Amino acid sequence: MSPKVERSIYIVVIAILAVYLLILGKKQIELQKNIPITAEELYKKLSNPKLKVQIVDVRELTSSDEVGGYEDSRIPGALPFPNCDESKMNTENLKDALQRINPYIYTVIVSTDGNPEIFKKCAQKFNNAQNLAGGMKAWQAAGLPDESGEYTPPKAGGGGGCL
Amino acid sequence: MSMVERALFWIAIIILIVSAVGMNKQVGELEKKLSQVSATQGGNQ
Repeated sequence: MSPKVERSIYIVVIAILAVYLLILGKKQIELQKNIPITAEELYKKLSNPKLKVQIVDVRELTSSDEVGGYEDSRIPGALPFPNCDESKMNTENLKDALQRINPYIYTVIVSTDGNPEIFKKCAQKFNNAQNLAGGMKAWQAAGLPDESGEYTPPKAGGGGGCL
Repeated sequence: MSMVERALFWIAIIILIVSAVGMNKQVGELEKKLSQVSATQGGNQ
């Protein structure tokens, strides 16, 4: 076999393997989007300062149900975005929260019970979003830390990290 | 084609095969997880 032919065969094999790897990578990302993250997995991610995770809470600000609304109990650092509706972001603090929501980073959507319909509606506004399985109900049931009160924008130079 | 060149090609092929096998395994696990999630959601409805 001539060296030219042999080299071509090697290159073709490598190219086929590389394309196969790319297809698998794309498939992996798509699958990850469709699998909800559990409260424990999210807590682990939040505990890792190297991972950038944005939490968007799509519940109403206050609610009379057992889970409560955003202001009653929320995942520390979560940004309010009631019903994923920009028109509801009408106070100064909520406008600030809306400005902080970045649609291009990895986002976990928090609803009351992890309803897939609510997630589908809200996920359209984000490039890479994942649903919190069981929503805030599961977070509370797992006994993980939460915070309450009105959303207040973080102070300049206050630093990150909330857990 | 020199032995060195041939060896480099083989190293690249082996690395790609190992990565593909690993990724295939991960995709399989994710598919399994997704089917479990779908079954749970279907059961809840």
